Amino acid sequence: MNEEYIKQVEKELFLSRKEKKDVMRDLNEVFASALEHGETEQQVIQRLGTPKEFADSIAEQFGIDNNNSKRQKGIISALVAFLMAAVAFSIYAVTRLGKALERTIGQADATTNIQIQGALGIDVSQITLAVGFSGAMIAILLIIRTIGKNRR
Amino acid sequence: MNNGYVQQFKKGSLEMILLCLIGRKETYGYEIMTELNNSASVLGYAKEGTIYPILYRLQEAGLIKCRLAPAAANGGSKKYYSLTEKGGDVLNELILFWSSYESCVNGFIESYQQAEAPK
Repeated sequence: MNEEYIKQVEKELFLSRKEKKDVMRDLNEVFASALEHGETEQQVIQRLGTPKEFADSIAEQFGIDNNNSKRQKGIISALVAFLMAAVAFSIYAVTRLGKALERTIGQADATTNIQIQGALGIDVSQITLAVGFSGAMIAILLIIRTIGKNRR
Repeated sequence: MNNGYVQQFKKGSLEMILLCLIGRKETYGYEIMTELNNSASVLGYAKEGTIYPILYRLQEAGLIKCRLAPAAANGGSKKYYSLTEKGGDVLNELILFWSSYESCVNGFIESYQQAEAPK
């Protein structure tokens, strides 16, 4: 039970790796000392509050707004996903444009029906398109989740 | 009595109390907690969630230092806290301030009580 509690605190805590390690060690000592003095894990957990409450009170002392850090992390991930989508889409657009030119025969203005089959069976542009779409989806999901957390 | 004003007093004095406890002799988390619960019941029930954040802050400020020692009983380790030189200086300043603060507040209380008395 206490392993589960400690794991949850770790998840809720946004500190540097070293600070986090210290807090985790101390939390282990809290449980060990209390058990040594005849307390039950349940008693300790009751005293500590929820993992989130405990993590927030610790983070506050390090001058960090834990909820804000969590929000920032969400926003950054959303941005990365969004960027990935944008890059994938532009690669797709460029390759499509390139293809369209390749496919024109005799430099005619319009594309002909003659298709040049790629050496590979799968179309690279389709992969980039898929990456683009999934990136955009992830970005949207993350934004929704981050906004949802803000309201709480 | 557990209103906001009292909370403010407690908040302000807990750091000094912890410095006193740690300055008296090297001590560890659970001992600090039981000490507070045994002899400072007016402060309310001490919890790790209150004590540890303050310990982190005092350590950050360089007022206390700690060493890890293996703990035989639980197979893990125990963190023993002690005052740094800076911590000792700050505590002495705080104690000086506290006594003038106390007499200042007491002065107001006395003047209030004297004014009340004739009624």
